[in-house]
Amino acid sequence: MFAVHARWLPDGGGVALWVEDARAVGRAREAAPGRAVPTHPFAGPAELLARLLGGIGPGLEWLAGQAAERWLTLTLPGLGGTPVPSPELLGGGARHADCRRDWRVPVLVFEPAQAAQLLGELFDPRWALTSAELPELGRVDVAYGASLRWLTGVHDLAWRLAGAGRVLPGLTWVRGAAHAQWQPAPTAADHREARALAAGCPPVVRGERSADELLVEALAVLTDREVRVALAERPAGLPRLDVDGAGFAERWFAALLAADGRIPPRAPDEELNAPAAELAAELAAWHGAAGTGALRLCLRLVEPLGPDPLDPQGRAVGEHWRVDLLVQAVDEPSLLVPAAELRVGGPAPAALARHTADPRAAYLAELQRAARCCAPLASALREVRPTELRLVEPTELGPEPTELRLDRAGALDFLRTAAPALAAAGFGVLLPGWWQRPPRLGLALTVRPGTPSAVDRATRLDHDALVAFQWQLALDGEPLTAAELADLAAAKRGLVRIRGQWIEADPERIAAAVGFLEREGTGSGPAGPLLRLALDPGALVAGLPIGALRATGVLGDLLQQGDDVPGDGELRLPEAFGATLRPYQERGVAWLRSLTRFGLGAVLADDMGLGKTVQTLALLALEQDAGQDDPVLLVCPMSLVANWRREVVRFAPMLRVHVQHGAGRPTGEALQLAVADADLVITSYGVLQRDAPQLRAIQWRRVIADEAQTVKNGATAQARALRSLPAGHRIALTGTPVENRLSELHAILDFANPGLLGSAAAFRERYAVPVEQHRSEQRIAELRRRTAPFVLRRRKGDPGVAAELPPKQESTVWCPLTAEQAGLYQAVVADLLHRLRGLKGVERKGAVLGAIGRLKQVCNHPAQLLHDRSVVAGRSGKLARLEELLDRSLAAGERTLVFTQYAEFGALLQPHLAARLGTEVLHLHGRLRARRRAELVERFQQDDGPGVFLLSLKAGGTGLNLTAAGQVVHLDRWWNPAVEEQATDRAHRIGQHRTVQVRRFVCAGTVEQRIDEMIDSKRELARSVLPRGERRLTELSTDELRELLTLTEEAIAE
Amino acid sequence: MTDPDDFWSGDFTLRREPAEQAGAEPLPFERLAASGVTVGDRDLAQLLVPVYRALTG
Repeated sequence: MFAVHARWLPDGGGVALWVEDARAVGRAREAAPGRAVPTHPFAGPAELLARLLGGIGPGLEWLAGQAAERWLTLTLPGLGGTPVPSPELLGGGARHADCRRDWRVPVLVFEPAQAAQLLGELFDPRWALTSAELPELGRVDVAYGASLRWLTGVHDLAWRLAGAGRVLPGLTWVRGAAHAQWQPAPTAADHREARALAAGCPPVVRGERSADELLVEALAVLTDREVRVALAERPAGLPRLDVDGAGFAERWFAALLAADGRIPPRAPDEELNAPAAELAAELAAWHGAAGTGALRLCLRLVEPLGPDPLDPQGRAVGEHWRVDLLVQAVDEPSLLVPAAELRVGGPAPAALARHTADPRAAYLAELQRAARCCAPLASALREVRPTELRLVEPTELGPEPTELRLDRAGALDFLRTAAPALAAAGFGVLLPGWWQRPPRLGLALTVRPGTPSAVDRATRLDHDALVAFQWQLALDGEPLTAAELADLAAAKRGLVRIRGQWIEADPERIAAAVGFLEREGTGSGPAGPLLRLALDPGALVAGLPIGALRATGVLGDLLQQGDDVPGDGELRLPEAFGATLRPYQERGVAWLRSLTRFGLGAVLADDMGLGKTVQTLALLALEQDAGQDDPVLLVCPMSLVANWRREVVRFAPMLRVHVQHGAGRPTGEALQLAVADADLVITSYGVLQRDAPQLRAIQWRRVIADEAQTVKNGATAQARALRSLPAGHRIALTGTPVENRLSELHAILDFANPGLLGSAAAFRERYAVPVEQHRSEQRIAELRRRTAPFVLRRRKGDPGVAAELPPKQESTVWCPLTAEQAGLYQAVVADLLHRLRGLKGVERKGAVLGAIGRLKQVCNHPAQLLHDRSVVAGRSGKLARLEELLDRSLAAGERTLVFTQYAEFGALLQPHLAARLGTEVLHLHGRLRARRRAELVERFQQDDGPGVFLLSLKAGGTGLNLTAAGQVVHLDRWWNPAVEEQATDRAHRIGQHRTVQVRRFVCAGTVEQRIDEMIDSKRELARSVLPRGERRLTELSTDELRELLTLTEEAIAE
Repeated sequence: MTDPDDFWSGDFTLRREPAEQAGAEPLPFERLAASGVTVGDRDLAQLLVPVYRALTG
């Protein structure tokens, strides 16, 4: 057993290692008293130590080869005439000692460069024991003494300081010669670590020296060595200086970057002491500016007290700005003591003394450091100038300043220049809250409706309706009074107190704003452009942002609408109008009329079934009644053209309608004549696209886009054609303003109010990305605020609406597969998994998509997969459930809508169900012409209409009014629940008086169940995510697909 | 005479992980203003920038 110990050699001499040899402990004899310093009896020879190090590892072997063999005298504890072995040698528990005396021990001496390397090699925070291979003894145990481990800890700290750049260049003397040295610049945490090391220093390593002294020296030497190691490879960019004949500073700098810090003399007899001392002083002063001590200076700007509220003339009780100087403990930031207290003493300064021996000296050093970092403070320390920064030196407190006084310009300079510099230099800087969040100077816009005489309602209905406006300069949205404005206008550059708040005045901007107010501050103009400007968060008027918008009357209601939708007076529908509006519908019509009056486009986005059609027709009937007979164009999907025509006849028979549809539709002059003879022209998006040039030639009083989500992609030809129509006013109708992406809302709003939300690209950057990708609440709120006046959306569950609708009960009907279905299902899965082995990329995705489609067909019916016109009865679990349900419904006199996404499945079911149930079964699908579809809807809605209506999800899912049905069945699942909900709303809408039963058929244990689970678990997210669900499935691994698609036991019927 | 263990042993712990440093704390060098020390006609602080970059990079 061996124990290796270390001693730090003074004066930058490095590390000496020595070793105890346990084999010699028993043989040790007492040293004879009175003789010269005896040799330590069980200290091993240096040559043995070198071999032990070599036996531990090759790195240490090389280092041992660099070390010099010397003798060192150590004072060690002893008992009787022999030294006491170290606890590491004995394995713990040294014997009692009764004296200390000197012993000579053989040592290996490592110069600083090798010492740093050695300590780095030996650093091991976990183990204090290793083994070495010696030729004569084999493997032996080697313990690291506490002295050695302690020095490895010091080296570790030095290594981290160097690596983190927490060093400063300095100058020191080694054995009388000037050396450039990298010195530690520890942080507070480093300080704590260093203090802990010093406090725990084993006496064996320091001898007679103090632990603090030893630590400071060893840390400095080792840090210097580690920096030089890092710079040894001359990283790119290091400066290169020509030192031949150069001055002392240049040679010192070159020595900083050299392997050795020695500063070479220009001549053998050159005197270096004087320039070295001068440079050392400059460096020390500079280092002081780094602020690495235990205390730091804090500066707190205090604003003047301002006018005395008790003074009848409002005279100020104090107009001086003040910077309070405080001292803060770096380790304990809550310990913040006014500098003035340092002189008078007390508990707070005493607390500071726990952190540094002389808090007052530290404060003075910090003050000097602050002066170096900040020119205004430096000049203030040099001289007192009343108009700038005046230093207060209370004589009773001594010479050091405890506060500074500033005038207004000086305060602004402190805020803008000195404070950031001081904070960057590590000082504490406390500034008033208003500087962190300055009051916002802007313009406030007040708008009120024009006088009745200003608006000729009969002839100038919409976009140029006039409003009276007034612009005012405002602080945080609150308009300034004339007196305040005069104060501000008179202010020179600097800090100005307005309404008790300080702001930084910018005379040029204020002058520009005042000029604008004088020229254009009040007047009247069209409401639309003013409101759009005021609602644009990025808009500037006269160089200032719009800080507030106030509006009175209906305009105010529009802008601040909450639950109450603003209206514009009582609605008196023409007597011939064929419906009584529900209260929320009346509010909707009033809202449309208000927006129309101000020339603002509207997006009526009520849930499906709440009566967007009847509200629109009511508006048109009211306007026609008021004598407005210029034509209105309504564009809708082709499937709804007949529905609109029917609804006009039903609700607004006073409106003359022209349907621009079909092969024989008029063109050219005939179209002009037809339009001139109509109040309402109905056309489809497809016809609009084809007839756009002719329709553009007509000045429409209004263009209405029904199912406006159809043009959610603003770049399509249909969307472009729609936007190109000249119109005095625009309305978009949609039940789903945002189906998938926020850009759809932009497209719809951009139709209704062109340019309201800027370009599509700007909208994407400002709203779509922050909201969709980062869920930015702030942008959501801003978008809502900006669009709220133009979008009216009521949900079926909203108060005031829910009472108008009967409830809707939804349930899932779990269906088994027949044995035939299960066999086909498994065959499709097996085929897919087999084919996937050889497929990649697009082909693989195509195979997965195709297989999922086939599996859904199998779940419906084997004949749908096989396309073989084979017998229908008795082969599908889903069909069996449907038959049971329809039997019950028909018996109860209920009518049922049956939706499927597969027209082929509907075609297969219709004759079967008609025969099986013995009743008429209607079937609506995409291949039917519009007239036939209208006939089917009309037939179903009749009192004696049939009990079952099969519809394809795509052709029958939107726009139709099928309130005769009280039952809704979804035979197969679609990825997007919104599509199913729209289809359900054919029955669950205004006009429905019964509870609507909605049943979704799902084959248990199949891919349908997985889809159902995905939709249910993420219904909210589904709107944006699930349309891509099929694509997501294609990206699953083969194993994941196997797990997803494989049938479970519950899938198969018994 | 006292326990010789007091002589040989110390009360310290070698860190397995470096002490946590305040992330945003500037380097001591970054806190310094111009040094006032001219080396090769340039301010010492400017000359040291690439050195610190090499150390911390």
